[in-house]
Amino acid sequence: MSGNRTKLNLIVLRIFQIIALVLILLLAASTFFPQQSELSSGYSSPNLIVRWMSLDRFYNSGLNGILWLFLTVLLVLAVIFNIVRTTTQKALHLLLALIFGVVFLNKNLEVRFFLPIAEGKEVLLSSFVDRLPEKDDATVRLERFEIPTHAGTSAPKNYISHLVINQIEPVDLAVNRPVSVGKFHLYQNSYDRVFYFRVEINDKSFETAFGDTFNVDGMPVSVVAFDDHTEKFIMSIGDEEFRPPLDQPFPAGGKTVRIIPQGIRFISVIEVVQPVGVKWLSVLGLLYIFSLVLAFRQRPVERRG
Amino acid sequence: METPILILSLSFYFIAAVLCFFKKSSEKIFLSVMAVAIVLHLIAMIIRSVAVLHPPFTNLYETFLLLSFLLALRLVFWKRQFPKNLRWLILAIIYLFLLTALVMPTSYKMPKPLMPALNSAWMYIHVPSYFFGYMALILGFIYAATLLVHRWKNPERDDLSLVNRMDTEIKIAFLFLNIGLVTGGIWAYRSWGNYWAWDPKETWALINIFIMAFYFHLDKPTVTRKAVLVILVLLSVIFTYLGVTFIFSGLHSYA
Repeated sequence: MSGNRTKLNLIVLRIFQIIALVLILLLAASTFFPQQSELSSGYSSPNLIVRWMSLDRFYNSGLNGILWLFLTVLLVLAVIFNIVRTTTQKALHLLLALIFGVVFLNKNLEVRFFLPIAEGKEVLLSSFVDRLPEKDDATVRLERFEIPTHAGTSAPKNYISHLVINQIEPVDLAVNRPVSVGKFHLYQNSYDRVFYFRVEINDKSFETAFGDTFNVDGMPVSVVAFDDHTEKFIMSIGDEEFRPPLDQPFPAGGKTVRIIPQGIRFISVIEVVQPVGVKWLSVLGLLYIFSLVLAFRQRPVERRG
Repeated sequence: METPILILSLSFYFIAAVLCFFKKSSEKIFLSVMAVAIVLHLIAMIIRSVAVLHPPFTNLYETFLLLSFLLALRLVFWKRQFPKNLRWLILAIIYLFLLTALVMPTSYKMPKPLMPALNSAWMYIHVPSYFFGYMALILGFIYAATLLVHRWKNPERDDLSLVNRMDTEIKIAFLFLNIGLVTGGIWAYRSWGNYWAWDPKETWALINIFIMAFYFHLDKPTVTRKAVLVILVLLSVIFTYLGVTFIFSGLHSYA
């Protein structure tokens, strides 16, 4: 009986060593390959081995998930079969298993998306989340995006989005200072700058940026780019392409077009998260540290076999 | 501005290292020399902090100063743990870190304002935790290297006290690396809304934890196996600390 127990201890230990080694090697290798989520969704590494091992999408791969699942199961088995002896060590292993479980739930259940908002524009959260109940919906308007700098330098001190929530509540969102909007937490992720133009087509005026599309008399119109060599815009009206100059009337598609630069505006990129279990993760993480301290303070129990 | 003081501190560390080779040298003299070196080192770090308007651990230069300072503190305040014949080795490592910091290109030393993401109280817990861990790991490595040399010269030699000390250092390192990992996750969630982003630095920090977990999960924890694992962990940590910074871009690129 004790011989079987010793064998079981060894088997569980060996499995842990193998899984840990495989995870170490795959994680290490995957850092050398740009992950597929960082590139276009259609991208796949030309290297067959990299694709087969999912090294170009390892962090989001089923392989990664399965290895962590095995680890979690092993942690629980080590406690059930008394492979870890002391109460503190058992608590430590169970805590870790719980942490992995909460991480799994969090990563699969949480709602997360990026919300790019241009200055002066307003967006609805429901336009980014399917089937969002009306009571959880909110409008977010970016009044102004600010980049305060360190005194005497041009280095940014913070990135601040001055928002108005539901058209009444002004809040400031900054790095390290998230805000809550109902069930959602908003985080200042990054920003972008765009050149804005006023496009006058006959007697109508439109505000737009490169790549935006708007409709004129049922036809899609877009200012695509600016050609630095010819110093003319590249513009499409319907299926036709035109090259109007800067701030001069130009005949295009039976209309008179004029493109007038308006300046630069910021686009604040806000990460919106509806978290699941994150507070529990913080608590479990701190408990894990505490139990590590306790486990290390104990005299080591001699492992048999 | 702190360079002349660091050079002075370096000189005193060198004197302390030389004293280790004199068997009849007084412990008091050694401690006095170390005390002067540490005070000068601390003054240099304070000057740096005042110049950059934040504690000095946000780039490679500053963390080299911090790591060597922590090693020196440990050597003085827990000197009974370190056999006299190993002190010179610890001092050599301190000397190496400080010298490397001094000869770094100016671009690494230029005071730079804090990035928005770093402007958080969590930085004062997350970063020092990792460097406490690295400090303990370096000391663990010294014991591991010593054990391997002893084993090579005399396989029958009993080095229980050295093994126990190595175990202690690895436990300290493992604890602080985990503190760094957990507090890093909490900080990241506060800053970016995501406690884990598989950033290369984060991934390698996790790899280090796994390798160290091996240390505590050896089925036959012989001295040689443990010592070799410590060396592997150190190599992995060196890659995490330096290799990742220079080879990969990511959220931790500023480090």
